[in-house]
Amino acid sequence: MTMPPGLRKFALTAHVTLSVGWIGAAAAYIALDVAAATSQDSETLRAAYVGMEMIARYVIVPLAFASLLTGLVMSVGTKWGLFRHYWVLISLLLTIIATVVLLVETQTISHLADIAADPTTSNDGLRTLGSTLVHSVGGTAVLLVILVLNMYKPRGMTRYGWRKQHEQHRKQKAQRPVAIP
Amino acid sequence: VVTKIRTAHARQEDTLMADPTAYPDPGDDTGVGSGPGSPPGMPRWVKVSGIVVGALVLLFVVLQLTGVGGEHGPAMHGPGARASEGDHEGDTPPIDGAPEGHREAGMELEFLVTASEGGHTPPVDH
Repeated sequence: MTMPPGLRKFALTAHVTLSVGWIGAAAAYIALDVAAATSQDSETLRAAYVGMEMIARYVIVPLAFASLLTGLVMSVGTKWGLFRHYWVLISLLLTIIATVVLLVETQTISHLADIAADPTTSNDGLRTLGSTLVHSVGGTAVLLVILVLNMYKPRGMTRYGWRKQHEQHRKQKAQRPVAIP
Repeated sequence: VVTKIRTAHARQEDTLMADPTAYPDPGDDTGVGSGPGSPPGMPRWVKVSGIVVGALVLLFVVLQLTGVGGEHGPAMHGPGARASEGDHEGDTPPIDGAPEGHREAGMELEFLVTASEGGHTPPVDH
């Protein structure tokens, strides 16, 4: 099930846009996360936590799912396949892990944003909320690893991919007309 | 000439687009050659990455078990988490909605601040 070139190009454009957008949104999130970790100003802290929640919930999570979906389409719709090459397989696993951790972390971020948005929360209470820097920086590092894998496409075929390739070669040989001298 | 240009264009597209160029070898760069009839071994970069990831996971597990890395998960965030730490140090900040003990500590702190600023003398029982 290989996509025609026009559709393939469109799907690739969508996949690259969404995936790089995910990294960009994560970078914007980190900026607010750093503010949440370092600022002593209560207004900045309130704004940072609320902004973090909005970016995570309405930008990063949708981009993560869209990137995962378009990645699946690109794999299944091209000759790369989903389980044939190690770089595709590892990219898929890392994307799934990153998405699951993101979903769990989004609940924590929502909790922090609720506390920060509560007018009864004192300034000292805001300062002791903490940040999610370990997850956000770690998650972005994972996304960069996936990006590098997708750009460099390091060699390495899985046993499944090797078997499939041999099956295709065999089929092609069988279909080729035999020249009779 | 047209055919050559088309071939070059197709090659370039193959590199840029997510459609595979056929690997000249089965992708086994482990240094151990596999025969034409045998499946390829796992590439070196996969093995090295696996070892690095495994070591990091092991380190994380050890840190969690020994308690050196601190608490992990949503419970590590929030005022309650650090406020309870502050209790031991005796410098708990006043937090609205905090347990009774915390409020009392806050009131005591506010009283001391007001007393020092306004020059009020705390009532002393004789």
